[in-house]
Amino acid sequence: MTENVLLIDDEQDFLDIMSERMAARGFEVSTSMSAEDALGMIKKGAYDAIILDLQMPGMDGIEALKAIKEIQPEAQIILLTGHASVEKGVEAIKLGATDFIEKPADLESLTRKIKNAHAEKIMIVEKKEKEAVLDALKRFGM
Amino acid sequence: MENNQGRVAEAGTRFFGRISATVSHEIKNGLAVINENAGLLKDLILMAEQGRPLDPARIQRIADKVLERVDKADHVVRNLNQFAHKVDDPIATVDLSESLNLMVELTGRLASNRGKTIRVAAPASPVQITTDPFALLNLCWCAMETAMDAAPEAPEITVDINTLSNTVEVRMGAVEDFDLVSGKFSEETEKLLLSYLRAEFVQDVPGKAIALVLPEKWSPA
Repeated sequence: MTENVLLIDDEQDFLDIMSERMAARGFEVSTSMSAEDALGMIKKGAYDAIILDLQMPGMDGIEALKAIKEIQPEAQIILLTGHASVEKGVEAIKLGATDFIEKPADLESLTRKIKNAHAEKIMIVEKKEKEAVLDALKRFGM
Repeated sequence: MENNQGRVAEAGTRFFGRISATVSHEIKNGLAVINENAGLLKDLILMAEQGRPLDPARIQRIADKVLERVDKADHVVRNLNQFAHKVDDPIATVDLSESLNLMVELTGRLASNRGKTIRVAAPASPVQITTDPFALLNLCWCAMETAMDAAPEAPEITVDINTLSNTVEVRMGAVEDFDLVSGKFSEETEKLLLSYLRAEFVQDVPGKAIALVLPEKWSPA
């Protein structure tokens, strides 16, 4: 199954090379250089995983994380951080990020995290669909 | 006075930490690009082993990108090294334009996070002052940060150096929110640094600018 991934980072060089390497591994990759543009893309379509740089000009990663979660509560967000400390990562997890990875990232490890995030999203969506069906059955007294 | 110097040193430690954090972030970004290029080379070698021919032009572009990022990282580290050596002498004669430009380069990411750039206009002739080089950088950064926060609409902050009688003025525009400026420069760190360097802080509301007036020759009290 092809995972649909959105990569958000203000470094064009990083976006270019990451998207090429991820595409070679079978991912369908979209990119955005700003959180503001990415929010527009997320409103238009769903992604299996969103890879988000923590520190960007304009809206930073934590603000972007909150905004994405408002648009798509089931979004699976993996934070990519240049911070060597884990505090920001912990804060991000508390705010609903699925995982975080420190730059420079190991692509194989990132790939595993994306696949885990995708599996998690499928479970959340299936659970929601099951709840909706049960709710409908209850409403019809069944 | 000893207690005052202790507080200046404490403010300096916080400043050193802030600059080191932003610069190390910049270095990590560069390393991430170099790391991905190395990974791409491995991918290409793997593909070549499976029969796909290596494209020399593609390899050349990857090598160029790595060299470009190494060069950029080297520049960042050189700036950090210069910054670290500012604590070597508690008093020294410094080129003001060079010091301001060093601060601008070190804090480029902090400025760009605010959607801003800072430009130091080259003075007609070199302006040198005798001061505490590290405390000077700390005070200049306080003023630059204040100017950026107090100029929400301006994408660029300009810094001019003017020589006055026995003093030198470092002027920053185009500032709009003078309430924010007043608040910031009544904070403890700013007041402490101004007092320690015997500098003055000036608000030019009609001229939409703030300025630091620094003595040409400073010596510790």
